[in-house]
Amino acid sequence: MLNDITIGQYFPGQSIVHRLDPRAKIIGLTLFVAMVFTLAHWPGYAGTGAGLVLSYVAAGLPLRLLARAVRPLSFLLLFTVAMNALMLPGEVIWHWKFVSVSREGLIQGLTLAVRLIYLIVGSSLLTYTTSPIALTDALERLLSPGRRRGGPAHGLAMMMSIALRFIPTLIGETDRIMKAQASRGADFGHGNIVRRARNMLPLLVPLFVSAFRRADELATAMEARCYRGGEGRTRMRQLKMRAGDWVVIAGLAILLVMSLWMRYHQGGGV
Amino acid sequence: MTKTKWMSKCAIMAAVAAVLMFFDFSLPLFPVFLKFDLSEVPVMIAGFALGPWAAVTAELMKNIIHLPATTTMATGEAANFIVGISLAVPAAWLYSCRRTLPMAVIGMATGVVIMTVTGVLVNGLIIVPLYAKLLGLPLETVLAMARAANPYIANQRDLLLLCFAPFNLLKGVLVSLVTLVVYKRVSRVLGI
Repeated sequence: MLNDITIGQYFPGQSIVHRLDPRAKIIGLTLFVAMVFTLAHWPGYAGTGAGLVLSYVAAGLPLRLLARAVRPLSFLLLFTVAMNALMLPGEVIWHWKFVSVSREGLIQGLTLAVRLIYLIVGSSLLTYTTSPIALTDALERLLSPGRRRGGPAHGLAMMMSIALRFIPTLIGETDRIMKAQASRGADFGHGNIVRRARNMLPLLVPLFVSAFRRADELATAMEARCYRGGEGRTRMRQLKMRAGDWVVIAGLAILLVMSLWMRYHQGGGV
Repeated sequence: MTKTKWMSKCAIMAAVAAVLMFFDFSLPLFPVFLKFDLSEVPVMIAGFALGPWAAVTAELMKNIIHLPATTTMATGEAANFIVGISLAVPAAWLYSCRRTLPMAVIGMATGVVIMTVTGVLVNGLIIVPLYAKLLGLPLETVLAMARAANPYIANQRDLLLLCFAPFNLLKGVLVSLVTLVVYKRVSRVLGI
């Protein structure tokens, strides 16, 4: 069960997408999300889909990752399509007893499903090609553009890095404690809600004790290395926006404007 | 406590919460989009041990970490954040005024009441309409999802009173009880 958790979904690499500045990728993703919500005509949908597949190829990612990104949403996608097709009134194209599928409903359901797929595939491209540490660094810089370092953004980014770093450790720890308690006869995942919550206690108490100990050790280690907040801190890897990063941002901004123009000047879209 | 200790403890509580968030399960009588998990327990413990700000920070980080795995277009995470801090912040704040067992119980009871009210208001006015809009579902289908679990739900008011209110009440009480037991034992071991 614990192996299914997909937080560490970063695929290290040296491709052109991997090497983009993480800030450019975050801004680009924001523009991309806005664009997906303004899509209205089939050339836009087709172009976006092709663009996504090309980006995955450019990032050197195997295309089965596309399917892996979408899989957790499959129930939701089916539900969205089915509900829209069955509930929206319109021209009936399929009828069986009291069930009828309308053309308008089916089209709306499918466009919504495609939009959801594009959103999840687009944001997965970011998490597949950017390490969590690079992401938090980029967020820190984006949240405090004026100040060079320090301020609440630094603390939050540092804490995010700690949390992300310790999740795999804690998953391993949870697994170990669960096995240890199961070998003593503990039962996880059965019974009603009160019993389930009670059965979690032999897992939670050792987990919290060990987590607090680790936090203490980590803080001591950081202080021993003279960590004193973001003020005046230097880093080994400096973020630097290059020409390619600006090209990506400008390109996605142009696509957003084009998509908006098509939506409001051509009409008749979905 | 130094600032570095505060940060590392708060961050690791957020990490524990993020791990516990993956052990979620649906409950009978409640629709599938309401999932129960124990991830509020580390947030509450962070609040008790480190103060109300730690609860807000840990809750925020937990939901940001969960964001890439969202199945509700981030609306579930937003709802979880608002409802979570409305439980943990009153409890942690009252407990920080006087660190005794009765005060902890009073704090958590206050938290559960505030959380239930906030849960109903926020979900009814903002989150559920937004969820329906983002997925392009008519509100009626959200009601249908709820009705599949509990046939007595007829309209939107029923959804709030028969679904969100009891769910948040149950969640708040259970999380508080577990926190009480766990915090007692953990603080005895660690002397916090």
